[in-house]
Amino acid sequence: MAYRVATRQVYKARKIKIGRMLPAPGEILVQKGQQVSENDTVGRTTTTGSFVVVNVAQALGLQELNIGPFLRKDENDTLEEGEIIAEAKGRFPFSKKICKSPVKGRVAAIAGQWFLIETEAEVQTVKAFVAGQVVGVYPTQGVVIETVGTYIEAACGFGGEAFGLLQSISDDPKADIDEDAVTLMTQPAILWAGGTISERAIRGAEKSRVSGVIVGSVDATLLEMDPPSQIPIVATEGFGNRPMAPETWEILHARCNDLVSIQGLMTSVKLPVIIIPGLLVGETVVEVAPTGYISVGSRVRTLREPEAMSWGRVSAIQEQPQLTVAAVSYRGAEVSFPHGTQFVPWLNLEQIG
Amino acid sequence: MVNEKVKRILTVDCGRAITTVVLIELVGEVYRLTAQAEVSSTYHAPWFDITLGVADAIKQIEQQIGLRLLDHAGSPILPRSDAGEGSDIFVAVTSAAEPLRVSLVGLMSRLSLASARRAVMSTYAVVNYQLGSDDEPENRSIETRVKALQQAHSDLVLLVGGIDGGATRPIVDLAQIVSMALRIMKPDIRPHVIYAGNSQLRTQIADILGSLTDFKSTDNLRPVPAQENLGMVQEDLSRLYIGRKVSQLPGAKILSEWSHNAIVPAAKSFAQTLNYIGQTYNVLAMGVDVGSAATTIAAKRHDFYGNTTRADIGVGSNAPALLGQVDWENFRRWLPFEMSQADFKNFVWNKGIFPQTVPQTYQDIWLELSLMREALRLVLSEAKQAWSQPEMRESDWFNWDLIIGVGRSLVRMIDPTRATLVLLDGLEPAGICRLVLDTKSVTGMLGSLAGVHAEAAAQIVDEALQFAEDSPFLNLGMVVAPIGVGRFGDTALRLQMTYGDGRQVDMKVPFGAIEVIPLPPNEEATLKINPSRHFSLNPQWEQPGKEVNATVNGGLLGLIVDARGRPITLAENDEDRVQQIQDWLAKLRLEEDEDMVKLEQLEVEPDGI
Repeated sequence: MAYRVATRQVYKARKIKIGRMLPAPGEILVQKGQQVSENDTVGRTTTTGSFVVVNVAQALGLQELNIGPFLRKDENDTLEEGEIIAEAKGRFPFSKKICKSPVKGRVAAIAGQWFLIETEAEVQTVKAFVAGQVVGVYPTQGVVIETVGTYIEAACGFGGEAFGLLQSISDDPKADIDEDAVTLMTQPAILWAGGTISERAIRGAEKSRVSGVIVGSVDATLLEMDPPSQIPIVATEGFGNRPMAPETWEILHARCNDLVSIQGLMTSVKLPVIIIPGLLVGETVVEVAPTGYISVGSRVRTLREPEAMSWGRVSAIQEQPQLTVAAVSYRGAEVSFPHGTQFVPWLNLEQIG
Repeated sequence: MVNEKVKRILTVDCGRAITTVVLIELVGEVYRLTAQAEVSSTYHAPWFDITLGVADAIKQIEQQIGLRLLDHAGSPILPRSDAGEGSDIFVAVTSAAEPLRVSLVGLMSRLSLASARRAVMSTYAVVNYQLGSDDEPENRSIETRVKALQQAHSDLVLLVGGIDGGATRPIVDLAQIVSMALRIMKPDIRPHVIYAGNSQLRTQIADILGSLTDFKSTDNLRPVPAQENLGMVQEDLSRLYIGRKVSQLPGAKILSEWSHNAIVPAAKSFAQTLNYIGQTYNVLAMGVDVGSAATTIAAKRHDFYGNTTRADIGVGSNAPALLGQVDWENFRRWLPFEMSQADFKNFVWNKGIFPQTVPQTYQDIWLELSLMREALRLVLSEAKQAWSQPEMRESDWFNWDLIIGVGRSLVRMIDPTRATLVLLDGLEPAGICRLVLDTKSVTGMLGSLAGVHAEAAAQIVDEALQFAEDSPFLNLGMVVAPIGVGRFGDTALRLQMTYGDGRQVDMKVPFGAIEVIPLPPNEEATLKINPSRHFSLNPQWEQPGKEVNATVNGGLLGLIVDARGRPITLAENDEDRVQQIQDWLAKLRLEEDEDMVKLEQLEVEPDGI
């Protein structure tokens, strides 16, 4: 009998595909097969900016809401400031009324008595984010970039995305990032440590050359920072005091000074990730993702106290439910951790890929 | 409708965290629930196919009954083969999809918009923007409103306002604002629009909005100020949730092809089951479903029937949202240990990112319990507002004959004694009431099944309420809870219980205490209860101190006397409060070894395939 649990990807080297989608339909600037670096712009689009509403009926002194017969401009027409957008001829020449655009812009919508003018459109660009090859192009929507390298799905993150050189602050796997560490940076860097980071250190990092941070865990109160963090923060283990798993720490330690890309995002469909393109000597590229189907020998981590975020291997599968402290029985597995073996319910295990 | 020779039915509830499958079979002349299985849902990474979890659960059932229900491709065998393999009917409900995002546009925030908000809470939907004519002045500019509507990225704009025959111009203006917002959106991402305002404007509003997006006019949900008419809008919301959100779930199309009827939201099916129970058994019935992402309270009392769902409040993936709406002190009061607010936040956010997990330490259990209590209390307070109609008085909220607890958190993550405390603390029932746990998670499926095979659904409900050994419902016992407030330690009530064999128990129960009197399931006893003068067993607070005589039945825990008053009062001093909480749990704990064995057998969390 096979068992299925949640999965977590932590790979030294694997094939990575990452989608880079525009926030609205736009223009794709790269072609399939093209090599890109992380800073290359792969697409751009315009999104709506500011609006000004003109009440045309009021300006023309009309009672009715249907202003169609009086319009000189249509939807999507461009406008100059002061340009006439509607005109009502009176019974006499001197009683003619006109309505002028108060701003330069584009007619975004006409509804009822109102004229909606978009004054400025914002151009948004999307960068490649990781160095690799464009393997898929969705016209007007986005691209898929493929590379090989380290790929780590983190537990939580916030602050957007960034890339830079991976810089360690300490050889102590449980070290925290403090204000001193962030001010010592001499080049744009993604700073990392196995411990945590305080709000003061994040504020210091924003002012220094730090473009992002990777840590073991963060305090949930950082989600309430006002203003929010201006740099992405990614935590591999979650919230609270949860030092980075030694296995993850070793992977990052081996890639110090390499270019790393991080996404500090947390949505129902997207996990925060750490990507370090390129391979170390002798590394083999894994092409399959974890399936979630595990058996004896599978590498797993446990998600709840008392051994939260510890890595181990399944040593035996318990076919019969085991009673836990809550007087509740669960099916699960015996897991061998470095300090001993313990029963863990399936629901509290993640397969590590 | 399916013919009467149906022998085997598979019903499925695909939840955000867990997928449950129940097998119902014709045993002799009666339909019985013969097997049930639960697995993690599989609509998300790395599986991206909701039907994989369904098939996994059906495989478990195959092993339980020793019969093939799936074909070689992993699809249910439908209908039953000549060899007798497979099932005749397959029915699915779901709450797995993200909630429907709704922008409310209307005139008065306390009238039509309040009604619209209540309609939204009937299904898995959240209000992500509200535009009212009585908005604060800084939010009233047309530019601000158009842009806010655009940036809300809603699935639906619900336009309401105006009693029939009432104001027209303000509603037309609102429709024009919606029209402008739609025009600046790309056609493929425009939200649906439902108009449920002044019915005289239907044609005019359709002229303004009908050509821009999927548009529908429906009954005015507030045709006169004192009358609310939510039914049609609720139906539309339910359909939109399935059509716009559930259909986007990976594998939903296949699930829909398997199903004999259209997939319905689990909350709707849940409410239909409660309605049936209340009506058929002539009881005042309430059901609560505490989920990872959503919390639902449904009720049937006399002519009233409805449900309130907070699709953004749960104890798993939406636990952080609960944290955002409930004061920290409210959580803290239920904890029998010291904890900082920061540590509690970390716990809740970790629960949010690992919602399927279960507690493995006593501390984690208490933390989960505090989440469940406050989720129930929050949604109950919403329901009170939503149902504050003439047919529901404030005191009615204490008064139920039957309360059914549903949801993996409540039923499978903790033992029945703790679940009992959660129900008592979260809902504060008063008078005399029975507490039940739905251990097979069937309540949310039967309403939908009734639409395909009413007889089977009715017989499963009947089986559940018989509380037999293998009943889908676990009968926790009956609760005697006087309403009132006193001084801790003073007598709240005196009680004399006479068993069937003539034995008697006399007890004085002090204010602030819980007492449990053994009364096994299926055993009957008579009660003579004398509340003291500050307490009443009548939730309408009539005749405090009046003697009440009643006949009660037993349950797993026995007869529970909850003399903590209503509302429940906790000691102000931390030390006393902690002692109170521990005393309550200790009182509910079972001491009989035989009963402990029953508890262990009940609490199985299968997740294998």
